[in-house]
Amino acid sequence: MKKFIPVILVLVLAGSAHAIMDISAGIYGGINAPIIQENVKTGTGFGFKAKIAPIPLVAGALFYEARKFGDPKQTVGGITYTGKGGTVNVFGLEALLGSTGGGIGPHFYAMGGISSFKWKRSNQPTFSKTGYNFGAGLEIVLPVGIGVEGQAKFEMVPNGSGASYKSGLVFVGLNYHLGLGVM
Amino acid sequence: MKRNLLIAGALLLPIIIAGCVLTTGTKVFSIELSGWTNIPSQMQWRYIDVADESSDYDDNKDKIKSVDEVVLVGDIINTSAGDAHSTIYISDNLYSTASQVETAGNSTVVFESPTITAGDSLHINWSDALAHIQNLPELKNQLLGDGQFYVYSIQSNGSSVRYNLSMLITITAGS
Repeated sequence: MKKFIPVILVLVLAGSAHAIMDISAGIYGGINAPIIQENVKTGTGFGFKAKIAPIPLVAGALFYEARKFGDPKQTVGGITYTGKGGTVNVFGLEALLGSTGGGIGPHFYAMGGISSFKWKRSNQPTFSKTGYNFGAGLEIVLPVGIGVEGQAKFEMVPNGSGASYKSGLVFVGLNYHLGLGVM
Repeated sequence: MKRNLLIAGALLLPIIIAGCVLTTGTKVFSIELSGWTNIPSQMQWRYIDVADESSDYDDNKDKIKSVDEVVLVGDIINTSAGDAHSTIYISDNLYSTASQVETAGNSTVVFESPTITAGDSLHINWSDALAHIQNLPELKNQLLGDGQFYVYSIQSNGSSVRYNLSMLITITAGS
């Protein structure tokens, strides 16, 4: 097994070995799943992001996500009542560590971010707090400069009373790499 | 490698500073508001001890971080020949007349219905329930306190209504 580790490392880092700087922009969509949160259900979301990797191991990304939670249901006395999940708008900044360059091949990275989290529900004031997220992603960059990317993130938004709302986010998307500095 | 660890630590720091809020969760539970005591001339009342009526609340009452939402759902049925209008109050004290309940400072209005025409009913779903709630902070405070209070319903003059209501309570709790 150990003899394959260098091969895996070469494959994972192959992309970044070809790039000294990369700029990309992309769109993505996926699932927004609340964790231990009975007042909303799983919903969907999509987003846009712009990423710059000044060196192959570190990158920064600006992102915007528009998500919605699914409507919750509660049955009382045999009658089921349906609430509103509401919509979430997130604008944030992420730091990526790992293979973040834009060279051809697979790029695996870890990430952490901070965001402005706004949750709107009917008849309720907008819940507006700072959110934090961390997770991992894998992007496979094709020779045409298009990258296919998957991300899994854990998001936590402290609600100001010593508790937090938490979500699991799974996104897939496409990025276009401008290829600045690609050798 | 050391630099990467430092960066990763810096990214995780805000989460740690946020107060180790990872172990909290949001729960929704309900209380059926059945068994009203009728008092002639337009008033009904009911005593609520939330811990007695909901094991979910009882299990979490010492760990409540926030009461996120309290609403009334269900039906209010106008059984009279004329239009009806219903107001629901909460209070720590027991009163025997509508005028006592309505006296300023004795109670807090928490629900106001629109006019319900004769023989008709008002159905309140969870999604629109908050629009009927008033003085939500006081209602939340009852649940953050001992969770024991009286609920009064007062109908407009000459009308009678039947309630099939439940209280849905959303809390965030944890250690």
